[in-house]
Amino acid sequence: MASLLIITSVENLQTEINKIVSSFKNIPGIYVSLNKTQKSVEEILKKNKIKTDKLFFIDCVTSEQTNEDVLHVHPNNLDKLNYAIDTFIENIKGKKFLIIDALSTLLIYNNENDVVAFIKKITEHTSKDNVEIIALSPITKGKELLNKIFNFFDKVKRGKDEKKETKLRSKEELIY
Amino acid sequence: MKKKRPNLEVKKSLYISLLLVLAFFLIITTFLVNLTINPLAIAEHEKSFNLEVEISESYKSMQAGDDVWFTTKILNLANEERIDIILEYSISDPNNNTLVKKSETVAIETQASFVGSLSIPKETSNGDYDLNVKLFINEIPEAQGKDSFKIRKKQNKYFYYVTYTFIILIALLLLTYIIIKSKIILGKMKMKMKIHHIIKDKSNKNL
Repeated sequence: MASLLIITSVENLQTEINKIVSSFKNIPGIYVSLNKTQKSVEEILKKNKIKTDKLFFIDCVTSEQTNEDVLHVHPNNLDKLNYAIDTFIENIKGKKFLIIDALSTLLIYNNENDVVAFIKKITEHTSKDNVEIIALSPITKGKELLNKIFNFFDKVKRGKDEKKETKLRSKEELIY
Repeated sequence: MKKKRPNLEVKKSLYISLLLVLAFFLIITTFLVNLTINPLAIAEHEKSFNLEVEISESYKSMQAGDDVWFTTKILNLANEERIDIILEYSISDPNNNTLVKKSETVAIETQASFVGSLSIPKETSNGDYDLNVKLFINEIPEAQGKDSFKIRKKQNKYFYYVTYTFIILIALLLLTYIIIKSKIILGKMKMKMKIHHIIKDKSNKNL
């Protein structure tokens, strides 16, 4: 299993998410939603004819319990969020994936170092558990954070806005 | 005339003998009376006052520099009229060295009870000490009594305050920590149950 960091423009963020989710056919996934509510994410995915029945949502936007099948965690509580992700990973049998949409939002509620520590903990799951991790972040936000977390990911994908193409780059290329 | 002389001499001898016997009895009686009455009188004189000294339990263990409080109970056995007596209080060590002495004059009729105190000198070392009370009338000791008490090492009160405050603070911190930890643990348990429920629910729906 591998971990992937996708850095793209805000406009392309949802397209990337759609591609990722649709690529994991019949594989259960954990969706950590930091930008949009679970309801809107589900609606967008359904509009794009992507099945959501195998997605477990951790909604970090809505504080009120609207859906019994959704877990709500405030983004300022990284320990709780980490525990929730851990518990989902432990309890979902077999191959699974984790989407974090979007990492830079965590900087609004937490300091940079705490976010770095949180991401490090999350990426450690790839070596221990049967899970693929995909973290997304808009290119314009949290550049310093992105520089710090590149090393934790096996692969870093950077989207080119103009041509709407993605180029896979190794983390070494991004650092040096 | 010659017949009458012996009768007179016999009578004279008899009188003298009788006088001697009487004198002997008088001497014996006087001696016996001296032997019996005089000691009784002395004993009565010594026991004319009964004196008791009592240090209450709370003052049995003291610290140097403190005041030892005690009660002196005096009973006038002679039951005389109101008289002035002098009470002399003193504290002595096991070697009978007097550490502190104080006296006061009080009036007494048949019986009386007085509360007194003596300050223990600050430099007094630890050990067992006697509190002595002597009763004087006209500078003649009439009765005395004593009670004992201990002097223990002086404890620093601030040390206790600091220790107790520290213990209370530690206990409060520990309690706060336990409450916070319990809240976190309970929160995690609740979340774990919720996640279990979500996974179970989703799995059932997918089936």
